[in-house]
Amino acid sequence: MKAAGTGPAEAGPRSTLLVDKHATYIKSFSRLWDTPDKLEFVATEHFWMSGMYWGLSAMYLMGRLGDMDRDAILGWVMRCQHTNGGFGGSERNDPHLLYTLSAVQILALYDRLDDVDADKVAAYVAGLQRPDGSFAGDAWGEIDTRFTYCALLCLSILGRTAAINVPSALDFIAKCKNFDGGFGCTPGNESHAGQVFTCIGALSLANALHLVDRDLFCWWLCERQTKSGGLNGRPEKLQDVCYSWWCLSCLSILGRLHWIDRSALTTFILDCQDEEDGGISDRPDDMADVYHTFFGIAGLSLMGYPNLAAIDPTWALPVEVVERIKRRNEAAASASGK
Amino acid sequence: MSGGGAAAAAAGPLPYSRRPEWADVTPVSLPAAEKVVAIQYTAEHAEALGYWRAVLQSGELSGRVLALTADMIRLNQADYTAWRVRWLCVQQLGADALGPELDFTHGVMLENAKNYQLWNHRRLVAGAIGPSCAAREDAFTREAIIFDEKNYHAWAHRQAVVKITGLWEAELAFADEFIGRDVRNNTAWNQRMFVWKAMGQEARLRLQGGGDDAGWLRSELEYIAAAVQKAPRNESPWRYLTGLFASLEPWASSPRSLSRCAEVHTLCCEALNDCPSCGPAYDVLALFYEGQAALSAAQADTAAAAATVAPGPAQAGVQVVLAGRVAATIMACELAQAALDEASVADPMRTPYWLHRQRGFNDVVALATGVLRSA
Repeated sequence: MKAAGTGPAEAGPRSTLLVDKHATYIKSFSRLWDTPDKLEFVATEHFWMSGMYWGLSAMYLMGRLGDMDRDAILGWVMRCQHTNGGFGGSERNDPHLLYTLSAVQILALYDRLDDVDADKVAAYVAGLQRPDGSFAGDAWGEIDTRFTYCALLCLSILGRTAAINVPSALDFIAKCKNFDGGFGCTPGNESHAGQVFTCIGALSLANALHLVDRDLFCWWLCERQTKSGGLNGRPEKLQDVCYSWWCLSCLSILGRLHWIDRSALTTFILDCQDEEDGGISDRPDDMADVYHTFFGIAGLSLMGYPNLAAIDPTWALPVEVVERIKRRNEAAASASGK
Repeated sequence: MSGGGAAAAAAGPLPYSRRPEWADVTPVSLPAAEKVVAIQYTAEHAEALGYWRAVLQSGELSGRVLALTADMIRLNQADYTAWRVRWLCVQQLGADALGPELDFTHGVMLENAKNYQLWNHRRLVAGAIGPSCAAREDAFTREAIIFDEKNYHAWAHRQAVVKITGLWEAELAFADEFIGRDVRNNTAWNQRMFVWKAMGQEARLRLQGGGDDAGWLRSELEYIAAAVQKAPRNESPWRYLTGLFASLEPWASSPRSLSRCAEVHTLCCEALNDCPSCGPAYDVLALFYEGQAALSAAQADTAAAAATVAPGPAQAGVQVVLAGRVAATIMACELAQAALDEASVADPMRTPYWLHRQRGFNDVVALATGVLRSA
C-alpha cells in the first residue's frame, strides 16, 4: 500500500501514460462494425468513421498502429463511400463532410490515398460550398466553421484545394471572429475552443494566419486553463480532456504553447486515464471513450511527452504522415508539370 | 401468465408489418454477407430499419415516411440521414407540416437539448415560418436555456431567429436577464455584444433615447462596472469591455480608443480596490497604459518632426513639448510594466503570457529616448 502523500507518486499507476492498456482498449474497436452488440454502439453508429480515425491516430502516436486490423478497416472505410464521392459515418449513413475527412485521414495514416479517386471526393466537397464561402456539412445544409476546416484539410490531403474557392472560405471564417479574438460556429456565435481549432486550422492550411489577432486570441486560449490544470472550452465551463487538443493545437500553431502550464495539464490528462480497462475520459474517474483517449494522447504528443510520435497541430495527423502527404502532392504536381 | 405477455405486446407499438399504410412496401433486409457482421439491433429497431431502407431506395417523401423518420430519430437522435429525409418530407408536405415540427423538435429537445441535428431542423422550420415564429422560438429557446444557461445551440438559434424577426430590443433584454441571473454567463455577454453590433450605431443611440456615443459608452461602462463588482475575477465583463472598444463604432476605427477613456482607468482601479489580486483588472490596466505609451510616443514623433523644421526662436518650445511627450511615454511604459508584474503575482499560472506582454516596453522606451536625443 502506498503511503499517503503529495506529488506524482500519489497518482500511482496514473502517473505515466498506460500505453499497453490504451492499445488494448482501442484495439477492441478494430472491427467495431461486427463484434459489438452493445446499445452504445448502435447510438454511435453515425460517427464510427471518426471514431476509427481517433482510434487509429492514437495507436499511431503510441507506435501501435500495427495492432489494428488494417485490411478489414480499409475494406470497411471504402464500403462507406457513396457514389457521389463522399463518405458516411457508417455503411448505413449518408455522406457527410465530417466522415469524408475522417475517411481520407484514415487512408493517409495507412498510406493508401491511392485507393480513392481524389477528383471525385473533391467534387463532393466543392459541391458543399455556399456562395458566402461557408460549407454545409452535407446535403441537409447545416452550416458550421467545422465544415470549412473539414473541406480544406480533406482537399489539402488530396492535393485538390484548387477545387474550392479558398479566399471566400477565408472570408467566412473572418466573419466568425469575435471581440475576444476567438471564433464561433457562424458569425456572431460565442467563441468556443472546439470551433477555434477548426478556424485556426483552416487559416493555417490556407496560409492566412495574419487574420488572427494573435496575442488577444492566445490570451483567451490560455485563460482556458483552470486550477485543475485541465482546459475548458468557454469561460466558466468545466475542464475537459478534449480541449487539451483543441486549445493546445491552436497555441502550437501560433507558437504560444509555452503560455500555459504544461506540467499541470500533463498531470490532469494522465489523471483521466482508466488504469484498469484503458482509455481516457473527459475528467478524472469518468467513463473513458475513444474520443477523449485520442485527444488526451494527442495533447500529450503536442507537449512532447516521451515515446509518443509527434502530431501535426494543423493536420491532426502524425508529423511523419503529413510529410509523406506533402511529398506525394509535390510529386504529383511536378509530374503534371505545374 | 401468457395473457400478461399478450397485453404487454399490445401496449407496444404496432409492428410495421401489421400497419395497413405500409402494406405495399416490402422491407429491405441487409444482404446475407453483411448480416453476419451487422450489429444487433432490437427487434423493433431491426423491423423499422427494413422499411427505412426500402424508402431510402424508393426515394419516397410522404406523411408515412415522415412518421418513420420519427421512429428512426427516436432510436438515434443524431441519425443525420433520418433528419435530412424528414426535412425533405416536410417540404414536400407543404406549410401545414411546419407547425407539427415545432412539437416534434420540442419533444426531442426535452430528451437532449445539445443535439446538433435538432437545432438545424428547428432553424429550417423557423426560417420557413418567417417572422411570425417569434413567440414560439422565444419560448422554445428559453426553456432550453433555463435548463442549461450556456446551451450553445439555443443561443445561436436565437441569433438566427432575431435576424428573421428583427426584435433586437427584446434580444437585448433577454441577454440582460441572463446576465442578471448569472453574471458569469459568457454566452449571454456574447449575445449582448452580438445585438449591439448587429443593431449598428444609429439604432443603438435611438434605443438609448437619443443621447450621443459618449453617453451610451458611459452607461455601458456602468453596466460593466456593476458586473465586475459582483465578481471581479470573472473574465466575461473584462473581455466585453476590451471587445467593445475594439469592435463597436466609433471606437473601433479610432486607434487606442480604450486608452483615451479615463473611465476605463477608474473601473480598473475600483476593481483593484475591492479585490487587490484581480488578474484581469491588471490585464486591462496594462492595456490602458500600453495604449497611452503608444499615443505619447506618436505625439513625441510628431514633436520631433516639428523640431527639425521649427525656426530658431520656436525651437525651445518644441523641445519642451517633445521632452514632455517622451517622459509621458516612459512613465506609461513603467506603469504598464508594474501592472503586468502584479498580474503575474495574481495569476502565476499564466506567467509566460505576462512576460510576453512586457517584452516590447524596453524597445518603446529606447525608441522614445532616442527620439529625444536625435532631435
